[in-house]
Amino acid sequence: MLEQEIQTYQEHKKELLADSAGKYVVIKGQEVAGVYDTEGDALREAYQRYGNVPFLVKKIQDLEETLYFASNLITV
Amino acid sequence: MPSFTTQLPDLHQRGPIFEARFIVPPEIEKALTTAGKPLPALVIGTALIDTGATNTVIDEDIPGKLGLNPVGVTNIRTATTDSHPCLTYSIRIVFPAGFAIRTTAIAAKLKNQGLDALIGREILRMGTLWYNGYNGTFTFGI
Repeated sequence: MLEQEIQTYQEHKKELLADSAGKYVVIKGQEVAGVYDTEGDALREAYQRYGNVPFLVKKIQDLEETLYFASNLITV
Repeated sequence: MPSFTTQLPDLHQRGPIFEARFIVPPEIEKALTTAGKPLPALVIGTALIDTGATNTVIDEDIPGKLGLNPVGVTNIRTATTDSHPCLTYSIRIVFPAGFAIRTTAIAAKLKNQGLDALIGREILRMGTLWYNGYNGTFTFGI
């Protein structure tokens, strides 16, 4: 799920980084819907625009962040 | 400051766990209400406050029960796994004192640990956690 949105992000990453590093982008399919200062703003706008469907809200950053979990409670 | 305190006879064994309620984010609640559609039944589950978790994790079954769709993908790494992509969901978690916190939670398998959620540090950073091992209580306030 969200493969198309991630591909769209990769295709636009260079320009997004140049203009809006550190902000949050909303992507649905091949459409870059907008860039917002906060994740909350991006989510509100995405729900307003698309409703309860899959969409991508992503922080615009050069290096992708990996979140670390010290405990071993999660099965992936 | 709203807060709750829980006393557990086995706090040392089980950690700071509590009964959490999971509900849809406000935008979905508003859209359903406006459309005259029923809200999905809230999901009740066991949550562990986990200071070792960078972000909140919910069991992968919860989004389906609430009718939620993913809003992102995050790579996670645990003590025994390499980096792995997981879907994320916008959700509200209601704590025992009645206050709700909205977060973007990672969905992963937790049920086999007897848990439905790990409350991570993106929530803990908003409040204060008191862990009193001596009398088996913990308090979380925000």
